Amino acid sequence: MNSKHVATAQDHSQTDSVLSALADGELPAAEFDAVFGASDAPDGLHLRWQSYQLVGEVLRGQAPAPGGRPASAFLAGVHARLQAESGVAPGPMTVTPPAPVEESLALPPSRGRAPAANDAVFRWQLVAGVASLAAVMAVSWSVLGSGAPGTAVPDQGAQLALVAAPAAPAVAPATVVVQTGQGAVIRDARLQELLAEHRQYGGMSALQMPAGFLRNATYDAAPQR
Amino acid sequence: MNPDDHTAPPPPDSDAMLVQRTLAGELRAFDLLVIKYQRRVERLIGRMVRDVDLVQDIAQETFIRAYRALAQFRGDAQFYTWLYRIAVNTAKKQLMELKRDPLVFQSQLKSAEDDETSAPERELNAGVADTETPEAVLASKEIAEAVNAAMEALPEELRMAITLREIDGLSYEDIAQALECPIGTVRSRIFRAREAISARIKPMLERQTGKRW
Repeated sequence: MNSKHVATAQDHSQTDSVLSALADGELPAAEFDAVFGASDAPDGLHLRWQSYQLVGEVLRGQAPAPGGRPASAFLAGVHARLQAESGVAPGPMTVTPPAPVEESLALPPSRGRAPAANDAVFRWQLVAGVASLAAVMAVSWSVLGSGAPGTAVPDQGAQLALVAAPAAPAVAPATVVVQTGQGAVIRDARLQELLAEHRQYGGMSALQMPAGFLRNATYDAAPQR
Repeated sequence: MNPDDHTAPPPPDSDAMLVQRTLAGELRAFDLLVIKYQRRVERLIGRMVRDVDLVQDIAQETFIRAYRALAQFRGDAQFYTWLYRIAVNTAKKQLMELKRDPLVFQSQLKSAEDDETSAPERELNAGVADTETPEAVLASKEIAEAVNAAMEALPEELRMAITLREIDGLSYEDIAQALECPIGTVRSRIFRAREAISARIKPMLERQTGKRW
């Protein structure tokens, strides 16, 4: 057959058949621009492409999967998700294209890091950022807050000493003089108060001295009448 | 390029070209990838998940992840093989999170991981019986019947061309040799056959917008 004659007679087909050739993986690179030519609105392009795919599936014995969502609705969902994540105004053609990655990161999925389950959820990235910021602030606070303003930050040893100092009581506890059978006894006022409330612990032990800290057998109570 | 030139280099991988176009900012190229593989991904996920709505969500999430990771696709493997891994990983993670029907998940997981190299091909013929509804089965059957009826009505030369392509999987060059015609003629015949068949099913696809099928 005369190929020149065929090419002339089929100019129209050659122009329109790019999508069909693309579906077959037979489209030359030079004709690729024609796929997205202005002749087809996106919906028309999608519908033609979908019908081509369906025809192939049916002819190959792969019945269309029942229960599926129509391509238009499915695509709308994908577009909506992409737009929501890219934060741009709605519109099917305004989605930010995926950014190219460095060659060192361009690993096939089998070797590269699998995407995390929460990658798609922006709020987790926000939470991670806030947590990182809080950690930095906490460390900064502890480092900067340990030294008085205008003074040098003490070294580790000095810090320990500073920490230990507040442990000592700032004020000596109040004491009281209590008259007992053995004479006057100086007691911590708080201890005396405790013993007054719980007299059974305030009896004399075998050591003949107040020993409230011992669990002895004595019992000091009012005599029974 | 002259389509009749038998010495021309083989055409580039269509999927890889669509990926390149997407990376260049042409979202319609990604749309074509989504439409091309939507049902296949749904069939795959349908083997792992019973809930049809969850199948849809996971399929959608699969394409979202694929879009984000598209720059990492270097064409070492087929695009669908790459997409298949994303779909399986997405389904696994989704099921882990939801802890839905772990028994089914485990059994399906095992079958999907037995042989990962052949799994994409095995799932081709797998159905999604659990997700079928009478209405969906009917719609699917109508499409299949319309395609077959349109095939019967095609002129012999068109039917032969598309049969050799779609059923026998021959390249344009092989079909041209078999039919003793230029490659351009093969391409035109296949296109005309597709258009004739598509004319029968397009109304069904348009009518089903917003419904499941």
